[in-house]
Amino acid sequence: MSEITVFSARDIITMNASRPHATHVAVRDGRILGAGSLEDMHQWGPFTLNDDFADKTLVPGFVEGHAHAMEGGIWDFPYIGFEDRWDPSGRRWEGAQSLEAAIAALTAAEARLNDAETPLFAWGFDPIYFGEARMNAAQLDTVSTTRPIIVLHSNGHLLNVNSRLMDMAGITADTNVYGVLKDDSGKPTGELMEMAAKYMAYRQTGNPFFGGIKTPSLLRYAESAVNCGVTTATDLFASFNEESLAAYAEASKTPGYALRLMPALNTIEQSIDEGIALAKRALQDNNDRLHHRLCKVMTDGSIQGFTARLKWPGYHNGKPNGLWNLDPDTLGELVLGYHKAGLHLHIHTNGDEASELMLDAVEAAQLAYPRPDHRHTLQHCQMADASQFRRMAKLGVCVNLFANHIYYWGDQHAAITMGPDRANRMDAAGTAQREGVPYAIHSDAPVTPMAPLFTAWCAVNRQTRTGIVLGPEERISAEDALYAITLGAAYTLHMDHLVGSIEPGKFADFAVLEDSPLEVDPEAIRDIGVWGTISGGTPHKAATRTG
Amino acid sequence: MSDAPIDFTVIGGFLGSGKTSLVNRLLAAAGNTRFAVLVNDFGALNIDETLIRHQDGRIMQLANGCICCSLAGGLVDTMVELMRYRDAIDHILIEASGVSYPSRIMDFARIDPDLRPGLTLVLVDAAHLQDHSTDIRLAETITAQMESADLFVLTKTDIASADMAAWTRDWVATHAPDAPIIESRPDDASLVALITDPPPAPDPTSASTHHHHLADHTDLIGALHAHFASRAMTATKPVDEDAFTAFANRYSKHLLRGKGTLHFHRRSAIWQQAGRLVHLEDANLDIDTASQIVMISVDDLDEAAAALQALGFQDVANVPVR
Repeated sequence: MSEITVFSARDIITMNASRPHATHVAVRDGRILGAGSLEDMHQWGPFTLNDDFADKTLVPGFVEGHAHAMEGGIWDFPYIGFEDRWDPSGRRWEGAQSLEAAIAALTAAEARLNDAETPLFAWGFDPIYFGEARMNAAQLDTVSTTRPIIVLHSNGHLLNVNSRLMDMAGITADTNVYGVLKDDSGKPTGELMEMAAKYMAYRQTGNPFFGGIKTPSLLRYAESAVNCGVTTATDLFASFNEESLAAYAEASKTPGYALRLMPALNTIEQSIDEGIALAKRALQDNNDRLHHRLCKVMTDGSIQGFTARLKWPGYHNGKPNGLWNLDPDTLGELVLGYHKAGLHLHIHTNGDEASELMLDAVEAAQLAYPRPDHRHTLQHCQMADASQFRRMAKLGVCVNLFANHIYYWGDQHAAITMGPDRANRMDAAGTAQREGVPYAIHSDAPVTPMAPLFTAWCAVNRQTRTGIVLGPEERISAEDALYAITLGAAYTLHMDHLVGSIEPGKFADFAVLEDSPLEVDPEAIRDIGVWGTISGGTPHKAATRTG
Repeated sequence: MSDAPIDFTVIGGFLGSGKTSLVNRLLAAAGNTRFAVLVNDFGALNIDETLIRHQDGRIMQLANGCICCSLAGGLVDTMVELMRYRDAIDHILIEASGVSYPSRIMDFARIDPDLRPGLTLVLVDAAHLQDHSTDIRLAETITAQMESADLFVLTKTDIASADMAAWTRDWVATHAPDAPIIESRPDDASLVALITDPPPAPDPTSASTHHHHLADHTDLIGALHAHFASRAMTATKPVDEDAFTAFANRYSKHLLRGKGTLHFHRRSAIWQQAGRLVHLEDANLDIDTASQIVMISVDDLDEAAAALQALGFQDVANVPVR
């Protein structure tokens, strides 16, 4: 018989209703034997006692229901966002809190490139915080005039490029195309938006983010997860090409891989029949650390990009309604097809019109092919109103709310996109709770940093960056938030029988915290230190933060 | 290596309007033109597997020289990938998804000098436009599509009631008063001719230029005259450019297709028009070359011809009206 390890802790919050707290947990073969007192542990026979975490709090390993494994690989490129961020190795990337700081960060990144022509890509740029000031080509030219530079904005809709890139692309004052922004004298500023301009930029440099996921990114993704206490995470928009599928399999079998990975097939990359076949074929790769079965549908765009589909009265500032990703009828056919095939849908809907369309689609699918416990999940679902939550509850639909948005863009939503009333109901965890909709909360990393304690803090406090509380009635308790980042999220992934709580038979996946999220001041939840994780009974220490 | 820009055509229209039928017909009738067609769903294309010469992920090369490309990876990345094959492509044709904005797609050709902006054709399902245009989820998108098309093709008039077809035609005409509307099956040869019709003037300096043009005109008329009215005109004296441009825009609704070589006071130019798409490109014609044009319309061209007569044109030949 394999050896038993017992971990002791100051407190173990189990999320197991029949034994909510414990001081010890016994682990064998990577699974939980039981949790309780030290005395309780002896029933299992001889064990090794591990007191390394005797002064820490253990909670179920966090479950990130909506993130992207690109979070692992994107750090090959310099980050120039507004706030400090830490890469998987623990290195701090200082936030660029002014245009000058962003240029300085780019100059430093440029100095690390060897030859003079390699393109320089940077990501995370977010001038929304800089008032009227915009980045322009002349500023980027101070970084380099010999290599093309592309700066991706965090909203995903805009790029800034330097003069070298515009020369290569032939973009001049004579270029009269929507999306090539110009200054008062008619010269292009280097700010590009929309598909055509992006195409022209990437035609010169290639798109560094093109293609499927690779093993090194998946390995770093797991490091990033350890750093924030996550032991199960999705890659919620995945190409299921041969290389990507091989990478998932390879990463998951890498000794010491500290993550249970859940890729979600991008359903629009192939026909419905092909997609279903692909998703089913992938099931044979499943192992303890790889769980295929999720399928992703993209319904609309983003709220801050004004591409989310909204019901009346639309955007607060009067912008036209957003974009469907596919014909609504085709989206309905997708839902029907994958539902019928027994697969598990995760459906991106940002605007309330998109949520409604997909609720209609699930309802139609349920009428045609009733399926108990399908757990199809609306992802983001930022604008749903109470009536839509009631429909979710009746239809068995789960929701995963983008709580981080409240902090990062809540001020803009109140002022520009949604107006105060509808901004108050964004990411309405309180309503989900009241209406009995199974829910999770998420980061959408790398869009915002993966850090479930921060996400929980957002749902508990609903504070924007400027400190306004957006919709206090939608706040949830710390207990409910902890549930949402553990068992709640596991439920939306159909993984609650394996992870999400500390109870016998489940994987021994724990987040090791310096403090209890249930004991600290709710405003301090985001400040709780993460020692690391225990995944399948093996401790993994978070990277030491540097820089 | 060819430096000539690649023709770029966008076919828009809602789900079920017949875009795939048109693409299939076009692939079958490609002739010597090496098309690259970008479609949403490979599976819907009518491709004989024995004709697939090479497949590289989402790009498929056919034995007739055409390329089929899936848009599943997104238009931006697909176009970046496709342009690596630019020497193997004469004409790119995009099947726009029913919810996209065709003019934003045509911007690809407006920004890239390796592409030549061509026709934006929007197919309209006469049996379902009423449903779609009154569906709050679709109304804005459909209205925006009306603004971006150079010309419209009304399809499914065979299954729509006469009232419905008339309603649809009126609705399109109201939203796009200056664009031609054709009624056609989506796989009709005349639509293929509209898209594949080769540009004139292979070598404007050669002595045989004159005859080339007439030959081109005749081919075009041959393909289209069974369905549409056409008219060829010529002007021996230089034409006023501003007046001609005004004519082209004023009569856009009637000019399903217009093409020819024009001798203006200050320059010579090649004229290409398809509904609201008007192109005048510099040419290098001999000073004494006559202007030669041909026009094709869904209705009669008497008014347009009268307007051109005022600019110094006269008929070359009247081709029988449908």
